[in-house]
Amino acid sequence: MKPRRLPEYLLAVALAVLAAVAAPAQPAAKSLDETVELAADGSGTVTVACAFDAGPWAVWKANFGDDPARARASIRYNLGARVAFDGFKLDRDDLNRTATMTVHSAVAAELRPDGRFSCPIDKEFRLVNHVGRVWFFSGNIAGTLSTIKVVLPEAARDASLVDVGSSEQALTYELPRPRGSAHKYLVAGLALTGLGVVLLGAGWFAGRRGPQTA
Amino acid sequence: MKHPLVLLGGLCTGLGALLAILGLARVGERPARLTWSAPEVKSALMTAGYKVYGNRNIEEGRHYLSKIVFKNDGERPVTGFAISYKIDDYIEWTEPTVRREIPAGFSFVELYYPRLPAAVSQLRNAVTTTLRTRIRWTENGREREENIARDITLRAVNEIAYCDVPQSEAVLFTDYFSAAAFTMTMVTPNDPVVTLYTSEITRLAGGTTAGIAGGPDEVKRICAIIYDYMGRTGLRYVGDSGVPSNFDNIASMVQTVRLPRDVIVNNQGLCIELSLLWCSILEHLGVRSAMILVPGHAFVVAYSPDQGMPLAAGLPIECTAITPRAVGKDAPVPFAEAVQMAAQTVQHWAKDGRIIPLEVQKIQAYGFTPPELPEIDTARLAETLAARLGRGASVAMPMPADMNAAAAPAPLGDDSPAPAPLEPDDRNVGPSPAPDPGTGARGYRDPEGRYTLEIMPGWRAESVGNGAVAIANGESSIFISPFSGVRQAEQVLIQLYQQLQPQFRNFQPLSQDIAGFGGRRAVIARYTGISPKGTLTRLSLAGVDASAGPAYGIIVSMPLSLYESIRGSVDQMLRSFQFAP
Repeated sequence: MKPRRLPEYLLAVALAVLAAVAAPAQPAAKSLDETVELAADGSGTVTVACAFDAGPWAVWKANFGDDPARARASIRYNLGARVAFDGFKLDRDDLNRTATMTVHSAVAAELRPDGRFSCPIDKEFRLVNHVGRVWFFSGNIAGTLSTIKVVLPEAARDASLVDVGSSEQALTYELPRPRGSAHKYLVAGLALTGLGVVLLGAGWFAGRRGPQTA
Repeated sequence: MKHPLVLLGGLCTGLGALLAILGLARVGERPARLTWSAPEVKSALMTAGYKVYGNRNIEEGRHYLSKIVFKNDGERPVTGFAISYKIDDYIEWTEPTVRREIPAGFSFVELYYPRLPAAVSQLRNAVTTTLRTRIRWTENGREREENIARDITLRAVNEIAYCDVPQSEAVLFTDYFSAAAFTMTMVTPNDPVVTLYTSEITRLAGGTTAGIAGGPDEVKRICAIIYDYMGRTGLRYVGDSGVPSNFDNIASMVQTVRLPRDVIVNNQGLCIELSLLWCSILEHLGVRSAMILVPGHAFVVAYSPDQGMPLAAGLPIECTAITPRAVGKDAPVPFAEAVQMAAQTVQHWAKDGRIIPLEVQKIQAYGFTPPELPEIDTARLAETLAARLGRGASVAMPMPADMNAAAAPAPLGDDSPAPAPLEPDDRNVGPSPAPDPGTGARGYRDPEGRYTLEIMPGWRAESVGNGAVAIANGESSIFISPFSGVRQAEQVLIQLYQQLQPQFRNFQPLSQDIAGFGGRRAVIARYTGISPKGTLTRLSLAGVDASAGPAYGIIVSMPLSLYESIRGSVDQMLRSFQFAP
């Protein structure tokens, strides 16, 4: 098993933390839905929404729900490898016994040696469907029905799931290399030059015709 | 006159060409720039679990030594990135991890999992070394290199730090034992010493099937035999603190924990040390086990192979009950009562939630495997174990070569550094030297006639009154003195320790033994430290039980540099010691 990346660790902390404190007979959560939105620079936002029954909800709230800083610290120290997050938010809905963790990290995707980007998917998850740049997975982790939705960057192309079912399972994709700010000068310059050439041509034709005399 | 469109077209073309040139020249664009966060480097590693740090698959990879987050802050790619590491004296520069191109704006993490050499598990004292990180990359056509150095500490093999969560973030009991899994690296079922010890037990048990299909009753039977064997061979619980209980200070979470082999050799241990020994024996027998941590204490639970591992299904055993006083009793505690005590402890802390079961096989399967251990003279250990059961002569404890420098001599013989009052004094020679024709030794008789011993050539003995003798050779010395007011060897040892320990700097224990001295029982403790004169010294302290006469205290000290050359003669002199009939 490789060190988990952002898309996996929130899932892990939600389950592991709960599994540690919940009564053995109780599932950690009723459902767990994760959304991973990846940006072109490899950063990403991961949102994990968990729904609980009454017992686990009370335990979870007592340990983490009332103390988002503690939840963040727990993630940082227990799942600290390859994690570098710069944003963390924990929302709670007591009436529906749901909690939503949102994390932004600069290192959500990994650059592979072949130049492609990858987003690891826990081997317990199977591909359900993908529509455009949105990929859906589902799995059953520690008795909890879980889903993952991965939204690839807009410019992503040639996406595929590799090493299916293994601990190396990952969603890989290609991205055009980002262009620098000077690129806009080149584009504008070429456009302007093109326009100039057209205008020159038009002016030349207009000049050839000359003024019409009666 | 030119047509206005021609003029406008010319202007556009010129301006466009200028912009295109600017674009091609990437004017105004931020150049490639590699930046990184301050390296997160673990300041201290536990050498007993040195294999853990080299394994990126353990516990989500969180036991890395170094973590650095890099970012290409520029608008052009960084190329030829390579990072390698070195740990002074232990690991040479590693093969670089290479990234051919880092796109603009991209971040990534570099982690280092050091493959430390097995030699680190021989460290008896903590050492400080340096982690060096070398980063090479190319940005804007220019090759760059940066070197980062951070000091790290390699803890002694017996040092366990239970917590690796920053104190500011620790809340729950489990937080304070976040690194407790490292204790499982000290469960050593395959150590030849444990094997030998276990074979002695199974010999008494007439064999066992507990690890195969014996069921709970067989597990209980073998556990009772282990418990009984430990009691009969004098294994004792020592120490007034087991698992640290002061949670306000993270420093207090570091504890010196001896390996099971050391507990066997020394025949004593803290609650956690006894628990680790129990786990080692049980696992050797194929009986699944767990060490249980509760506030201030540790004990063990044994499981039948056909059971799961829930706490309630196991057989809890209060390991310290072999020493009745440890559990508030005056008489020996039967095994059934030790089980009952542990069961009550489980019940008490389970309600509270402050209870951590560490399942040996499960945690070792994660990768918390034992370190490589030095060879030990098991033949001598076998004699020792036999002697403890009353099947042999006086006990001469063998120690691992790295601990005592040699398979141990008989009584005190071994090592020691120099206490101030016993620093050499060669002005006087003891009375009555009657040379031994074989060794050149001279006899020394206590002026009051209470004991005799032989003095080896090069040593001078001086009676210092009250039945005490100081024997010196340069900076090395032996001091033997009667102790009034106490009768137990342990009491003498404590007094000696209290007197001498404050005089030394960096005073470190090496080992403890029980041995025979002049036909009486002696308890020996060995240390190293820096003497008041600044000499790195080995010091042996011993208490000798009172019998017909008073108890005795013995201090042997010598510069560590002379240890190998002198210990033989020290050993001979001490072996020659005889109490007058």
